[in-house]
Amino acid sequence: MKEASTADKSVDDCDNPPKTCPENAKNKPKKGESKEVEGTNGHDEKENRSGPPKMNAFQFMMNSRHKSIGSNSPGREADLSASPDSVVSKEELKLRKSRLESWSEQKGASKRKREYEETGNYIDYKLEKRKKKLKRILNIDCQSDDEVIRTRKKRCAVIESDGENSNDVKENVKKERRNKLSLDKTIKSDGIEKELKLTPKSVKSWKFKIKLSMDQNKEAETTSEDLVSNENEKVESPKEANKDLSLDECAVVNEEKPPENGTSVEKRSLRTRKAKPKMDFVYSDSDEEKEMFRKKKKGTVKVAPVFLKAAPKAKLDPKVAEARRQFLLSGVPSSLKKEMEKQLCVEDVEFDVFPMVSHVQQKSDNVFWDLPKPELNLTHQEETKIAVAPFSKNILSLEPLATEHSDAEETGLNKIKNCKKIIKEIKTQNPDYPVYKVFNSIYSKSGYKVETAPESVAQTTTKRRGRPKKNPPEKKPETQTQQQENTTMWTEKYKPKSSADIIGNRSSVTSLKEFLSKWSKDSSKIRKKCDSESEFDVTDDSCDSTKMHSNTILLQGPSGSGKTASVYAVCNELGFNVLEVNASSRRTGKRLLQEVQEATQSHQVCKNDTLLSSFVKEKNKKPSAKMCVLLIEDVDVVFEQDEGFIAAIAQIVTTSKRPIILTATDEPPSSLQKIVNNHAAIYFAPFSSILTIWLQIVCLVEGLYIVPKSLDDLLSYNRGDIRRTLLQLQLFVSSGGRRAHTEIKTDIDVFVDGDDKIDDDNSNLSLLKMDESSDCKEGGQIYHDCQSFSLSYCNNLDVIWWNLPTMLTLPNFSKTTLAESHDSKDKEKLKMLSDCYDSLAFADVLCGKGQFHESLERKWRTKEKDGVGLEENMAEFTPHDVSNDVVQTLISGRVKLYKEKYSRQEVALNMAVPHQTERRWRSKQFASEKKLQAALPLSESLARRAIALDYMPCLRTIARLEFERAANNTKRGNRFYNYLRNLGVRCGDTTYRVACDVFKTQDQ
Amino acid sequence: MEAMEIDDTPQPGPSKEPTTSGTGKKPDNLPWIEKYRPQTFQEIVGNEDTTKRLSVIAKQGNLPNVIIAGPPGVGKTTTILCLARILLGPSFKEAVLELNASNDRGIDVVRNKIKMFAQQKVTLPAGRHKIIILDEVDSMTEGAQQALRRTMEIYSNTTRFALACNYSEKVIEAIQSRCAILRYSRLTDAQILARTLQVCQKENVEYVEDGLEAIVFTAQGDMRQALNNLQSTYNGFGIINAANVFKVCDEPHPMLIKDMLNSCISGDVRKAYKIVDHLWNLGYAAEDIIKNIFKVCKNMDIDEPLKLAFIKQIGVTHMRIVDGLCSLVQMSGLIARLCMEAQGVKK
Repeated sequence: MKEASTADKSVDDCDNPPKTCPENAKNKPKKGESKEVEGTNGHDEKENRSGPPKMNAFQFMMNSRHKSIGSNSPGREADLSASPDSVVSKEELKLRKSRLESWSEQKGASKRKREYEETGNYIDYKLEKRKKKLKRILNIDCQSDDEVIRTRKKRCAVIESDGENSNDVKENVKKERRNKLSLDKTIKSDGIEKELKLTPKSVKSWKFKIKLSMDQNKEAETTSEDLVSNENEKVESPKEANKDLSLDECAVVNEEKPPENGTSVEKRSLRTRKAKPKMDFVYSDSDEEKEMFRKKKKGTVKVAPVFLKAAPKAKLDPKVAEARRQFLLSGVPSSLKKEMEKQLCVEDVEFDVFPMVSHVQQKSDNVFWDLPKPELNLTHQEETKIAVAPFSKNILSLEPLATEHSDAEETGLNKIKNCKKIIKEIKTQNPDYPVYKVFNSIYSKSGYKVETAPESVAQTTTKRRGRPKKNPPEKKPETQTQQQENTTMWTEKYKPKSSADIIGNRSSVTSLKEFLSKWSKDSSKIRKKCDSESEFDVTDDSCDSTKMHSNTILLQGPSGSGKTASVYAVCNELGFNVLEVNASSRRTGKRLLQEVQEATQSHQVCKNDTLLSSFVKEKNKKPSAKMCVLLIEDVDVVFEQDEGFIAAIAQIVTTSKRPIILTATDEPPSSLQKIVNNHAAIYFAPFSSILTIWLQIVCLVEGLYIVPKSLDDLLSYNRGDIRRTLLQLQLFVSSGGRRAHTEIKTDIDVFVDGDDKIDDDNSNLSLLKMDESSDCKEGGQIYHDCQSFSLSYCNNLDVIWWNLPTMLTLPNFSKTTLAESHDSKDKEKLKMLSDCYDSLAFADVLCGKGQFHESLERKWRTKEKDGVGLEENMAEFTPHDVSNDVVQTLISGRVKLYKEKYSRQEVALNMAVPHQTERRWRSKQFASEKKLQAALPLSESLARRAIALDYMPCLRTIARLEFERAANNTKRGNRFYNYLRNLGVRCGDTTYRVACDVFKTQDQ
Repeated sequence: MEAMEIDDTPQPGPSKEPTTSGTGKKPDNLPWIEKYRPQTFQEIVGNEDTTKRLSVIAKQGNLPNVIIAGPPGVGKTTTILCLARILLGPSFKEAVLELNASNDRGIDVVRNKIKMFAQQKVTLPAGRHKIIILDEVDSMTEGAQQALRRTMEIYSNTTRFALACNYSEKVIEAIQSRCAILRYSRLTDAQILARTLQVCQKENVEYVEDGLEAIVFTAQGDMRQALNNLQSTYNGFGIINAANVFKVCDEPHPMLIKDMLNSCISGDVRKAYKIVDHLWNLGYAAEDIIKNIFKVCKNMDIDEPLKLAFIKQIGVTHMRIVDGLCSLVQMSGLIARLCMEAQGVKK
């Protein structure tokens, strides 16, 4: 097709120059003349043809039409067949075809193409050259019309043959073209035939239409490949088509003439003969004639515009127009279209979104909002109204004695009285504790009407910036305080805001504060320098300053001991920003570095560098100049997804110019040991009973008086976890406290009888009353619940064991009493008791088989740990519920039995809440037990043969090697860590020593 | 021995009866446990104290993070759903994210989905919070739980967590520390019976006294199981009686076991062994048998010390079975020891 198009172009080239080039003034009139000449010629011809030649012409035309209509074969062949000399011409044709084929086979298409181009150029050149001749030829040779016509025909033939030869591959297309041409011819001949009767214009236009439709057909036939080029052709210009048309036109017009001179057969033969492109001499010979023809054609081109008017009409064919437009559109708008679509989509979505948020929904008259109040006659609602406006004034003035005048103003009289009384009572009970102060601060935090206590002692009201912190009550309008006070959890509400607020862990907090305050000094120094001197000095100084002290600190302690809270409190006090990285977000090493590195690398000097701005914006500068502290939470929690986390921490620690605080619940993993060794660690202990007063005050502020003992119990039950305790208290208090409490509250003297009433709040929340455990599971939950201290296994039973004496209210059995009184009753009692303990022991065994204390394997910690565990995790395979049930029914049954018989009063079970002293004693006992165990050879506790034969020798070897290594390791100051310890195996020094010493004496 | 025959009867019955009873009455195939799931706190059976407390909280709106722990079928999830429904009312759909063990709850989900939901803004009335319900937390991997810990705290202003689990000690310490733990106990037989009766009346189920008794026995304080057993018995046989119930819940028949225990008490080792041997031949696993022995023993009306002694022996045997010694020898050993205990205690 390409070549075909080039061929077309060559035709165009031939056509165009005369057309486009500014034609001489001479030419124009001449064309008009030529037109006229043609027209006259036509007339002449008509007139001439009136005789026999006319008949011939008619016959010829009819023949051609028949042929063209009847068959698709080229009109030429039809003509040839129709002609009397058909044999010769046929032979010639065949010959030509074979030659052409052979020739095209011999020569490459590209070569030919070049040739054609050259010829085209040559033609152009010749055209220019011979333009001059035009005039002369036109003027002089009126008689030489025949020749001219012949040359024209030749030209046509040449062009056609060019088309034919140019491409073998596209021959079919060419054939079509030829078909078209021939058809055109026939049609034209028709037209000419009709021309006799009709006006030429209409005929031409009709003809043209047909031609166009043919074109379309052609397009439809061509393959998709061709389609583009075809379209190109089409789009290129309608002119081309016109040109073609005109060309055809002239050809046809000329065709009419031969009858005068000879038969159409002759003409055909001539054309075929001339058409052989192989013969160069033909070209050269016909050059002149060609030019002549072209010039003639020019004339016809001039004629063409007449038809051109018809042409555009045809172009308006909707199909074509559509195709063209699509083509034109196809290039550019694909991206635009998408965008448009997108926009549409977005718009749609936006319109959809708005209705989704239906503000109307919120306070509908749904049943749920108007639920009837549950009939627990609780006084909580009133309690919260404690509304201590006058009272807090009293507190403020620190005149607890000035209660009289407040009495007058009270609304809920007894409440306030109670509150005051209680506070006073607490104060008297704990003279050392700053009760009022604490009450004040808590009260201000609680948000129950705060405006009267603004300057409460040691209350820094600075708001935190690092983190979206909420202290809602202070901002909310008074009317709705009742509602909105309750929106935060107590843990949020009562969290410390400064280091002074933190209860317990005094030394840890102060050391944390020291650590951070050093930094704040540094930063202030830097800031000063930044203000005064140039920036370059600052960097040097800062580098020096960072080297002065370590930048990392590790906070370690059980959950709920206030690690994070104290970090925030201290930072709040010192005005640091806290940049928190916690386990709740993805923290791969890469990501951590990305997020944090920027912060750690800079000193966060004030942003407005220019002196002027710093002077001007003095106020704005302060917040922006805040130091930044990086808080990495739960460094011991490392998931598989967080690869590179530890490494990233190590990197940050070494490069950081900011203080870094790490927190960890457990001992940090071995991979972090390196960091830990080089930096200080602060240990946070769980809260002790000193917190109980604070808790008591909190509860008081929230409207409930709770006896300190029960709080103490709860706290120790939770193992000093303040957060948990607070939450449980919140649940307890906000759900109305104890139901029995209402009666107490109505009485004025609360704490007279509060003692035994309130201590079952634990049992409501978390502990269960043993004496109520007629239904099976309840008793069993004691075990589930009572996790006690640091016993390695069987926590629950242990707790029961410790609590058994109080549970059973043991009588005093002394040897003497037993010996003296051989009372069968006492013996029976003793037997019962022994049964109790026996069942406990049995339960212990049973639990040992079950899954009660399968230790939580910490898979998220270091990977090395996984391999170390020798135990199989049987939790999935053992159906444990039966053994649970057995244990629980057994013990509860025993205890119940005993109690029914001997202890008259129902003792509320006070589970897992031994006193401080008792606990200490216990832990000491446990420690001593452990020591005792360590003294025993390991084979005693690990009796299995495989272990004795396989593991123990290895362990011994490791221990000895490590011992030696430790001995050699003195050159560096840092502490030595055992290989086993690095693996996560933790055992005391005694164990190692034993491991080293076993068999050693024999060796020596 | 009659019971034995009932057990032995072939099973042509069930194939016939469902066609007659199943097609006629019930067009809806909703499981009864869903159909009769309580919608308000008043409807929840058992653990009254806790549910009342929660209903107070539901009224006030400031729910702290809670873990509800308890055995299956006592209404943990139901409670939480009730709570959420009352707290959030019409915006329940938008403001509640419920994930249970069938959802993917890996670390990534916690870090993305849950966190996203916690960050999301939902317009709620003042004092209400979004609620994330995590059912069966103890089946979450510990890593996922670890990843949850800080999310629970940081977004506590807008989002609260309600967790349900069977064993609270399987929830890691850090999460426990951030929640108030509520414990649910098993439902009493009376509670289950009452509810079962209610359902029977609503569904027009024909029942016999001992059928309901059997249902209660098989349920063992698990309401879900009770209702499921009830429904499947009803669908299968149309009438609730003990025989049908035990056909549906294929357990060693408690009457047999009761016989066995009684003969143990009377010291008739032969008879007791015969029964156990029969059960064994029926193909019950040692685990099943011992479980039912325990259940029956617990509910038997015998002398308390003797019962406890029995239970202890049963416990010993169960321990061995758990260890893998599930053979008939162990069962016969149990019988022998039970007889000895009975003799000893009597003396």
